Amino acid sequence: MKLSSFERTLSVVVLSSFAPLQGSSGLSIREGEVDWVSGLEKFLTSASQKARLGVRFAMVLFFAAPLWLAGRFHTLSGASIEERAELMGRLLTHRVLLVRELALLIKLCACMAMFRVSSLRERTGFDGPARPVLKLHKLNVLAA
Amino acid sequence: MAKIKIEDEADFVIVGTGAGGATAARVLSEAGFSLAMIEEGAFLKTEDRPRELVDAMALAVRGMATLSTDSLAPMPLLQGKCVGGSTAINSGIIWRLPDDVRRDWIDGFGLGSLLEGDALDRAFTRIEDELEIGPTSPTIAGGNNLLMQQAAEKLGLPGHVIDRNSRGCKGSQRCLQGCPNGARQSMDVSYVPRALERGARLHTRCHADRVTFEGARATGVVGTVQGEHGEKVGTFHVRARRGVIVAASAIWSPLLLMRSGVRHALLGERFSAHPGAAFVGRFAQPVHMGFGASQGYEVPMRDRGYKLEALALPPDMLAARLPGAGTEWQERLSALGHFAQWGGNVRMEAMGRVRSSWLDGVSVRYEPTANDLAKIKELLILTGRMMLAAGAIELYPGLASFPEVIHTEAELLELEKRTLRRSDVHLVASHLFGTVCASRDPKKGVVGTDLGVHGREGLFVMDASVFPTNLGVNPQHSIMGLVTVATEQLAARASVARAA
Repeated sequence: MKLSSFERTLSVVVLSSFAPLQGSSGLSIREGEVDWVSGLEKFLTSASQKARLGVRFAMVLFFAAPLWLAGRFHTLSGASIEERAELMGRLLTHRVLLVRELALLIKLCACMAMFRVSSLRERTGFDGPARPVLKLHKLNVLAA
Repeated sequence: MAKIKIEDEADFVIVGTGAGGATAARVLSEAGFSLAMIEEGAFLKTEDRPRELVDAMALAVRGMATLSTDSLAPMPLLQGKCVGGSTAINSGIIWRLPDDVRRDWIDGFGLGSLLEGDALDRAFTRIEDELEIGPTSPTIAGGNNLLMQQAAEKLGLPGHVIDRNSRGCKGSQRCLQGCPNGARQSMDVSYVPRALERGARLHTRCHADRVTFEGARATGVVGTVQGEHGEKVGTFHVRARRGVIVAASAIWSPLLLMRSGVRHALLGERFSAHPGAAFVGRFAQPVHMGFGASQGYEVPMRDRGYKLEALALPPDMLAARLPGAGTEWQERLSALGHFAQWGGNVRMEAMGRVRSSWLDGVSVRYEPTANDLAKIKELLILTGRMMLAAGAIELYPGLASFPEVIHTEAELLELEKRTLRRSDVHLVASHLFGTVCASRDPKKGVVGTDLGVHGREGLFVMDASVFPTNLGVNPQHSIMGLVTVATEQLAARASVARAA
């Protein structure tokens, strides 16, 4: 499912706000490393109609979050890196259930786009060695 | 563009290739009947199943798991949409039908001819041999499962290693995306190929629109051939000489029957499930959730109405589950190898209903009762206690109106004092039952003891939709066992008719 150029602009700004590029510690995302748009398009192609509506509505709603959530007269693209991440955090814990649900859905879309990048996945240490890391103690059944 | 037009004819037409449909195909093809199998999804080869979640789910999971119940707090419904159905995306957990459920179904729904005697146990034994069912090996269990085992032993909980249908599992932790080694003996690598070897025909990307009838007798299935993205590219008509078997799940089987003109007060009713919720814990030592069986350890708390399980997530889902955004979240992502996730499925007492809808084709109404929410709270607290016992340094409950991060048992036990509301917790439903309830009494069930639709001839339903109640355990084996017995009986009757 191809997004319009307007939707592409919104989606890049909104999805990348969860993990801004600069000034962050922890997992750093390199400029241009994540293709936010194609990941989202892939998701929307197979998602339910309900989810497609939800994602599109959320993109617009969250793009305007500085205005309705923080009373600042600009959109997400005009916000600082720190403000964008802070707003995403507030959306995820918003008192209105619908907002929280949409924020989680958008965060999942962001994560799906991020983890299509093998190098990024490797930097998280998720996979680890192909052997058990933990050892169980042996039960002393003979002594019982 | 020329439209595809498929015409076929067989003794039996089977709609759906999940645990029910594939098992029916295995039994009937062995009995020498010709079969045509109809599957809405694609036949995915092992090498075609990507590691990346969005790509893998787009191929094999219905609606990217965004199909959900209708409510302000929607509950996603996890179902496979490919050859093998949900067996091709689950963790291969195997449980026989619990004795208490079996007794309930015999006493309450008159299903003795299916469930009494040793036919069902023989069916289970055969399936267990054929699908190489056995306990998860400690060498491929991985940190997420082993840590849960340590916690259960520490707290004296009745945990055990999970039995799975797996041959040569390498611990790739890709059960949801599709086993890259073909180790999980899901229907797409076991019973469907066996039926095909015996001459069965498989029509993929075919959506069944309705069953056709001559009088009361089912004569075939008509429907739509779909392209890669679900667009209509043609039509099909498959004629059935001896019967039509619907095995399209508790969501889609009742809708197909409704579209086909079947009417019954209980059709689409009595929907039930085992919704689940989970805790994520952070550990000082590496857990490496990315290696190991996706689910290899469980703690059945049957008397309490729930079952705890280790549940390794793909990194995308785990990352989304971690709280926060920005710096704080990115710090957690940089240590993604240090997290474990365990949760539980509840045997909910709630019952719901399934109806067709203009949006996504289906409307599912299903809300937990106060008792169900109390069970969910109890299982979450116990999961949290286990994580702390195993040495977790942080817990992420993922509950609204509760701290995002907790560190101690005292903080965890604050949850006991609260009433858990539906909107506080994210639930996912993966085991779906009911909606075409079986009962000997036509007033209490849509299908009878032979799983044939009351009042129709040659129309059978063989999936978890015929289950009168939920089970409290993973349903795949119960579906396969029940369908084996029902199709063996059907094959015997049809063989007599054929000989005559």
